[in-house]
Amino acid sequence: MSHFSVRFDRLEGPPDAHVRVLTLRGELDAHTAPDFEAALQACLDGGDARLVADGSGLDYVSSAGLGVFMAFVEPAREGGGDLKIAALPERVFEVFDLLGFPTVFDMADTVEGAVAAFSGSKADPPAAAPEAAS
Amino acid sequence: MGLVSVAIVRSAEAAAGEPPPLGLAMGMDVIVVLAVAVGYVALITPRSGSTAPHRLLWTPFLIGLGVLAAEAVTGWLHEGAIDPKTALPADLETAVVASAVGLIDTLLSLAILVSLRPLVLYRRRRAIVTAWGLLLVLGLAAALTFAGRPLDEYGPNAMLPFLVGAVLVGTGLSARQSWVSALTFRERMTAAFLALGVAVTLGALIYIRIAGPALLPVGDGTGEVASVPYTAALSRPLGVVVLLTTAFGGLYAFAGGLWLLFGLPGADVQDQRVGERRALRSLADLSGRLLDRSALAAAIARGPVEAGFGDAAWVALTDPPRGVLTPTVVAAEGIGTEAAAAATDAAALARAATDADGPLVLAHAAADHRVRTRPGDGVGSLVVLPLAQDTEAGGLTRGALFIARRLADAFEADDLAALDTFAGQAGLSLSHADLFADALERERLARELALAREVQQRLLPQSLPEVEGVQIAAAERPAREVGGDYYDAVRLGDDCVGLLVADVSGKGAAAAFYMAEMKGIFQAGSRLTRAPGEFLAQANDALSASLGRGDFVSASYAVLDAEAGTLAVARAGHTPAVLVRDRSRRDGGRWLLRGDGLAIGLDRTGTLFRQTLREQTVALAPGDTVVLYTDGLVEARDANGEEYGYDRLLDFVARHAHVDALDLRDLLLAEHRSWAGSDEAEDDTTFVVVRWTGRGETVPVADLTDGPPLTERPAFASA
Repeated sequence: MSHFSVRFDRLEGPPDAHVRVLTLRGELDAHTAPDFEAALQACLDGGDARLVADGSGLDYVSSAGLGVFMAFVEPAREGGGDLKIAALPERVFEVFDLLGFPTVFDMADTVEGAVAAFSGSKADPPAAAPEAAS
Repeated sequence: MGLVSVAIVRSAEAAAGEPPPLGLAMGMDVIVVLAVAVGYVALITPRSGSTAPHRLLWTPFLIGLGVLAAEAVTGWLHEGAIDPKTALPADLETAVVASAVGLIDTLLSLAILVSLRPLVLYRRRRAIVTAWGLLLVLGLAAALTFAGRPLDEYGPNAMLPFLVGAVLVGTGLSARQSWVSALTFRERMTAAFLALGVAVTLGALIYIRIAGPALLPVGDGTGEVASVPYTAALSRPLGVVVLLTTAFGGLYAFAGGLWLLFGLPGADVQDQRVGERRALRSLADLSGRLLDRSALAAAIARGPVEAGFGDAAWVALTDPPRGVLTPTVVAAEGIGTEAAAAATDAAALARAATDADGPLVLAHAAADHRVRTRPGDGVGSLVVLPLAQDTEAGGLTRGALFIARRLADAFEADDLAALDTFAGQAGLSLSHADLFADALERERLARELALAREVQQRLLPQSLPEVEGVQIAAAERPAREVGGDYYDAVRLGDDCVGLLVADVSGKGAAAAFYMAEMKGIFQAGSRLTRAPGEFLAQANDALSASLGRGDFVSASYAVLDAEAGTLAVARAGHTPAVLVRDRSRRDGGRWLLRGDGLAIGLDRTGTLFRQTLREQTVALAPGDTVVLYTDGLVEARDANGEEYGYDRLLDFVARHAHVDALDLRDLLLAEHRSWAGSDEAEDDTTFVVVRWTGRGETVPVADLTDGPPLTERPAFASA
């Protein structure tokens, strides 16, 4: 039985630059990816493009789950924000890393770090410097 | 207060023996009648709704018995008289007794009205509320026509239409005994006893007031002054009010008693039953046939309205597969869907109803902050019932059924019980519809997967190229769901072999489509370049145009040059290739070839893809083994849920570094089966084994101080 939940009720950062933190829990796979998609879409529809996915509670992510990140990073950047990925457990990070996600996505060790990255540079260029990945 | 002061004035008149001026008499009578009306309004209390309705009959019964006893004793002990000349009580004593009797009669009248009101208005409809108000007004009007009339005059003709009207309305109301249907069998016995008790008591009261011992005898028996009850001696209008009230109470209780004893349901109760049956039957029909969600929702909204439970009803549901996560109005009856959606905060009410785990009743809907309509907009009272709270099954529809009545406070306990049952059935039907849709979807997927598997099988190479010095063997183990694994091998010129292993994201038809496209790219692209990085960059360019949003392909491409004795490999986000060199050599060992590279589709412009991609080239030594594979091999889980992992794979290949490629393939396949179990795997598993036997040349021992025996460089030096 897959179990997964997305919450996005947390707002962090200075009030003039709110960042929405989406807290992911459980297994992000083909069955649960639509929930995550709906949550991200709701954020974008609500005008929030500065998004941080808190992956500290993720147990597993399948290719369908990875696809959600891929599908939403461009719309978030076009909306003047970004979709940053934070606090992934080591095993889950390995999946992202193998596919080269750290090159395309801004991935932070902590949620605080990801939120801080927003206030650091107002508009992140899509191409972040590749992280050391081996 | 009014009553008491009038009683005192009347007593004073009787003592003085002078009839009052007409104006004063009328004023006092109006005060008395208004006092009764004020008393009635003051005594109406909101119903708690929890007690059985028949208990309300106890009050008029007990007070009626008390009044009956008091008046019988009074009539027996006291011989009152009316002075025929003044038409006033003959003495002070008669006046005082008349005042006392008038007061307790008034009390009884109020008790009857206040107690019977909830019964009369049970399952309130607009018509009934109107009729009840009309009855009260007609009664008061009839009484007021007597204002100021002395005892020795007959009733005015003006009274007649009011009286007739009151009798007709009262009789009509008595014929409707809705509350009876709310009772259990045991309660019916008690209720029948009580109702008949009330009827007999009130009947006896009327008898002794008019004909019995409480009658006031006229003075000297001249017959000039007609006999009147004591209360009329206090105030004739009050006498009329008391008489009418007592008569209505007796009639209503008598009718109720008959209904209860003989099981005669009132006409509207009959209607209600028919409606309930129809609603439940239509729902039973639904669960059998209607598996379409929207048709089912419409039928669920129609049910309560058709059965007469509400003036309007609507259904709000979630639809997780379509991303609707908060309950949204999808069907409405007796109100437009948009109006229904605008009427309330459906999501908040549905949540409250789910939390309440039963009917959520808003008796005064307009006062609730979650109801957005204004008073008079058609939502006077509202019931919200949770639908399909099947959270265990996960992702199923959740929502609520809303039933509105125009009147406030219009739902009775037994209405709610029936609606609760209805909502339970409706929720079940919805769950069935969801399960059915799920099953359809699964069947569709199954067909699609069968097709995809067939495509996959046809895309895989029928034979592998043969080049001197190289052994190649490949295996693929399809999963329950076709995951989009693909491998291919092609001979390039006399001495080269191109090898591709790819994993397409997505399942079913989409995966098969990308596989076919990959095949085309491979067949064309592998002949254009022998640089693995160049090939993968071209594949990224070609596939990026057609890959769906969020789809990607991971791939490893290797080119083995048998003449040069090298193997060059590049990795586009794919699992790192295994390289094992025999331990008998000084440079023996095992490595994962993990050069940088993005999965195809991650960077669709191709710039980052080219910047990142690295090529690794191995100078092959005889006996070297290279394994390209998909993640199904390393991610296979055993019975305890443990992943096979890279370390076991490296160990296994190293242990069997001396066997033929074909044997190694079979051993690895067996190893995989024994780890993952013989059931169909969750994910596809594909691998290609390459064994370099060499062409008799000697290969210098590699320097391992900087890691694996290979050279690495950016695939696109200029980038």
